[in-house]
Amino acid sequence: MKEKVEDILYRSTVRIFEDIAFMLPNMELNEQQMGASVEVAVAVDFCGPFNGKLVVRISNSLLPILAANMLGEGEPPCRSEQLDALREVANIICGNLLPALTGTKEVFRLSAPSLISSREPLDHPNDIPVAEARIGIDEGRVEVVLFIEDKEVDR
Amino acid sequence: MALNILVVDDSSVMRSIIIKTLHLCGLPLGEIYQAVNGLEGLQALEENWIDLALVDINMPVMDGEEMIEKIRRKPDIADLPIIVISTESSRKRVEALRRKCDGFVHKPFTPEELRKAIMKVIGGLNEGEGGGYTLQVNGPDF
Repeated sequence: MKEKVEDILYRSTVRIFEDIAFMLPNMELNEQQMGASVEVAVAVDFCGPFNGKLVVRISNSLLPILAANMLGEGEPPCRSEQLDALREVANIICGNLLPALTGTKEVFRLSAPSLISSREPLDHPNDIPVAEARIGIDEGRVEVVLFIEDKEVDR
Repeated sequence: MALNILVVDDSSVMRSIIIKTLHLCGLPLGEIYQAVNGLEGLQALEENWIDLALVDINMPVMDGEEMIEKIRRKPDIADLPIIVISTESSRKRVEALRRKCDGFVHKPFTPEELRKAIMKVIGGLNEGEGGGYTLQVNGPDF
């Protein structure tokens, strides 16, 4: 089951980065991407048939590229817009991921994405990471982790 | 006549993407107003003549659904064409939203998807000879 969830998480993540940021992620990370830090993180809390959150962590070096690509600009926007771009990416990944996991009959409510410490999820032992997708882009890395509060997703 | 459009989304990046897409659509654009939540959106509607609203759902302060419900209860703007642009995928929720609005565009969207939704909603548009559009919409009653 975990493999299936992870596969859906990977596909949702790759598609969103390709479709809205015109970035070409690779799932087989090279050494540089593996060694890159992921310093910026946002979380989207959700509630519905199961509750949890989706955390998107990204290398700082990718953030200006992500935002510039989303806006179709040659130059990156200011830092606040770069963070806004990441929040929107997290929102769209989460919004597309949950129905892909459970089907479109289920109703989830998503909270507004918020900036968090990139290590924050590790500080909450009640959050169970059920799946993680790591993708490489240029010289950086993106990690998307799905946490749930209970194990109903594994039924 | 040019279309005055209100874009309501808490993400400034998404608003910029939507506005860029609007410029790519070949629509006769007038003023484009922006709001970061439903409350600001309602204020913009009070202060300006708007022909079409593009509204996100998941927003702080006042979400898009509440905003749409308030619009539908105001006689002077109840018929405003509204397109929801959202990540919402639940069939039940999407159907409920569709009953309240005039079009639904799922995020992520392509410029063509947004253009099609707008064209479907704005019934007074006729394609012109040069690929441009002429628009027949009613202005405000003064």
